[in-house]
Amino acid sequence: MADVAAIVDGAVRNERGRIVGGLLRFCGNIDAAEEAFQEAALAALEAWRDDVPANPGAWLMTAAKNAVTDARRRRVVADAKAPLLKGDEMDARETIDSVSDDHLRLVFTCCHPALSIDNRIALTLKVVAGFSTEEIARAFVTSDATVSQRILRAKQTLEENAVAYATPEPAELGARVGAVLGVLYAMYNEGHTAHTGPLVRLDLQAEALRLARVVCDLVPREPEAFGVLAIMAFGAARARTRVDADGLPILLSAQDRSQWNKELVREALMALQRARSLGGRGPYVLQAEIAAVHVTAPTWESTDWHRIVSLYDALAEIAPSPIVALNRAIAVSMRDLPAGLAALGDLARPLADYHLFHAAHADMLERAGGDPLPALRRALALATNDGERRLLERRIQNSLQRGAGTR
Amino acid sequence: MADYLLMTLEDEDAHASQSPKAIADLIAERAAYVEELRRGGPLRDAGRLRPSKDGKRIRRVGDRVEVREGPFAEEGKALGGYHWVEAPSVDDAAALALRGPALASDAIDVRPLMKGSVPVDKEAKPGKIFAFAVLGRSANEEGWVNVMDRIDAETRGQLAGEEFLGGLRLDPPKTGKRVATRGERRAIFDGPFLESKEVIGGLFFARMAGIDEAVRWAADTPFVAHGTLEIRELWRT
Repeated sequence: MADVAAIVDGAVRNERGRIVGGLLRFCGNIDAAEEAFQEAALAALEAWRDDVPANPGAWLMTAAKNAVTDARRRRVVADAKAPLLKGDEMDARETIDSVSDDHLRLVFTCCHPALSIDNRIALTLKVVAGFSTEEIARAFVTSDATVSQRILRAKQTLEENAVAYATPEPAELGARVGAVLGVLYAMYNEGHTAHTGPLVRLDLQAEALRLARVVCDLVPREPEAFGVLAIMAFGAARARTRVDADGLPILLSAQDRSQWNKELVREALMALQRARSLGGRGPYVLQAEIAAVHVTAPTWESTDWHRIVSLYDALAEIAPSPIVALNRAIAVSMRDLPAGLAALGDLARPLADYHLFHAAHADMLERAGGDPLPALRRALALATNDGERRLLERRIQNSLQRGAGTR
Repeated sequence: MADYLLMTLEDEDAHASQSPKAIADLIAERAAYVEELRRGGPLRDAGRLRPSKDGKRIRRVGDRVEVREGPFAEEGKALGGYHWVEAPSVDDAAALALRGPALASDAIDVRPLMKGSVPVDKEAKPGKIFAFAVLGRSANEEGWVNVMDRIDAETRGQLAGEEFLGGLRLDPPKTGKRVATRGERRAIFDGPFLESKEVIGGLFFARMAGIDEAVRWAADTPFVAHGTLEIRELWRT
């Protein structure tokens, strides 16, 4: 017999979203649904020792429903006036649509706009993805207590606002999907470039990618969902080439392109194609288009900078931000260095405290034959991530040596 | 006018080793081809299958069900995608296939449909969509047709739930054509021929929660009593 714990673990991870979502329909609160699911998972560890059921998901669902009923009986005995179940009967037949709806309802509830973005992320990782509070705390370099607090507060907010466990109405769907994608994107970004600690956190990135795939299957006509999936798959394809053996970041210009994961590149390109055929031109789709230009360029030098600049122009029109302007300026500098420096000049004030602005400035100054040292030192003073700091220190060292050599 | 299925049979190793640029170009060419067929009128449906290494084949052997893990290939090629078109003749359908985007080591089989229907936008509904290819193995065409007739008779009217997204049955392989590259030239050949491999006789689509659920569902059907089912997830395109 294979390791039962591993089999249960796999089934629990795969089935969690749809089962907890299904239970939500009946017990009306996340805690009760999670508790019942937990009980079912524990029961599986015992029951599956001799024989793993043919349909582990159905087994877990039945066991969890029984746990809800038992809890209700206990509750009814304790307090005859407080019915816990929303409906008396659970649907006998699970259809693919009801299963998808349950899963989607859970994701929408955990990413509800009434919650702060941090609380949405914590709740989604806990309830939808099944991370423990310790795992979430480790991923965000914070304490267990903070994470528990966030989750508790999120659940309270949902109760206080009497948030319905429902899939949004069609008119509202776009905005609500946007909130879900925002959570996944924030999760991915934290995994991609952490504020502190190691640069890349693959577990967070992997979970964000997994959830993005689920969301695409749940809302297959939303181009932005496929845009987010494409961004994440492009990122995951490059993940192993972004950090060197010493934990220092490797810039895109220096990454070993032959080591990019082609299966993930294909998944990203297919997702982007889906977004295109749905007519997507939203912020996520445009960012995915930019990533596609980079990933399909044989070398950094042969990148189609013209196309990148025009994509940033389009992005700046619908989602203007100093960061978008910074990236645009960098792309411009690849075609026309003085124009890039001029574009950067306009950003000196809004991005005065952003380390990557100064790093980019240093890079352009160096290419123009100027002195990058002051900008590098400014970047170092502002950077918080270990790897990025060490890379900047190395660049300062190199620059000092070069300066000494030419004198 | 009659209906034809253009099936792209792909050399998966060659596809896996393409550069990101080449992968992107082929995806763009396919999209343009679909758009061209759609605008011109002959396209009824199109789909792309995920790599066969993630698929499964199942069949009944005695009283147990045998599940085989991918990758799968017949003569080194796996079904990678299909275009369902209307055309005046098999030669016209083959002419459309001749322009189909593919690598030089791929082939495109053109097969007349016996019957079939599919919803307008099968990719718009939630859930994962799986393609089920009905495969039959026989030493001769008569035997192969018998297998397909039997499966057809025993499954008729059964694929009716909301999870089903249509399907089709193909005429025997000798009625088809094959587009392949020999030397520098891409050309139309007669065939394909049966020999002793698994030959596709039908294709249908269903929404399932995952491949395991698809396998569980398929294990109880007559498809696997007489032939083999190859189960592959579709990309949304």
